[in-house]
Amino acid sequence: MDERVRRIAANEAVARQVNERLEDLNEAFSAFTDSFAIICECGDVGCIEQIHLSRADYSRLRSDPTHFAVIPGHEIPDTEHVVERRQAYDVVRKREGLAARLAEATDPN
Amino acid sequence: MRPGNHGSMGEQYAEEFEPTSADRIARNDAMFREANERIAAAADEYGVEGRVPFICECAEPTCRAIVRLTLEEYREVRRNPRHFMNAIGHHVAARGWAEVIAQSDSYVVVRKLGRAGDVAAELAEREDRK
Repeated sequence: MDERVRRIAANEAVARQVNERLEDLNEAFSAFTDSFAIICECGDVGCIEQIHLSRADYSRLRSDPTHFAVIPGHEIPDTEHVVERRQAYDVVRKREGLAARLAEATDPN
Repeated sequence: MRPGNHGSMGEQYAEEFEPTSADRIARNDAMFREANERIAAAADEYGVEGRVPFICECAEPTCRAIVRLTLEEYREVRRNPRHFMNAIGHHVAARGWAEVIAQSDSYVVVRKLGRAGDVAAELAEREDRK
C-alpha cells in the first residue's frame, strides 16, 4: 500500500513541477491571459489531459501543498478526496498520513 | 528514434536571417530547456517510471505543448547542447534556425543551426557552470 501511495505521490509531484514551470514561462514571456493551461495533476503518469484555469485560481490551488487539480473522475479515493468542484476540474486534498506528508515534502515552493 | 529530414533547411538558409532572431530563438529555447531540466530532476528524485511530461522546447514563446518522454530519451536529447525536443511540427517556429535530425511518434529532435546553435551551446555551458 505504501509503495502505491508513494508512486501516486511521485506522479502528482512531477505534474505539479511541470505546472510550476509552465507558470514560470508564462511570467517570463508575459504570456498570461485570463486563463492558462496546466496538466491534470492526477496520479496517473500517462494522463495527458489539460485543465484551463485562471492565474488567481492557480495561485490559490498552490497555496496548500496538499491540494491538486484533477479532471473530474481522476481522483484516487484511497489517497485523496475532492474538496472543491469547479466547472472544468476538481480540487483534491491528499488524505492525512503518508499521502499528505509526501505532498508537503515534494512541494517546490 | 530514426533519422529524419523533415523541415531541414540547412546552415545557408539559416544565415539569411538576422542574428538578433537567432539570439532570441536560442534564448527562448534555453528557458524551456531550463524548465525541463528541473522537471527531469524532480522525476529522477521521485523515481517516476515511464514517460514523464515535458514542455515542448520549440522557439514559439507561447507554446505550452506537453510532450512525454522517458528520462532516458530526455537525457539523450540533452547530451548535445544544440539539440532540443519539439512537439511534432513545431520545428517551423525556429524559422530556419533548426533542422529535424530525428523523429519518434510523439516528438522530434532538432539541431540548432548557425548563430542559434552557438548561443544555445553558450547558454548550456553557462548553466552547467552554475
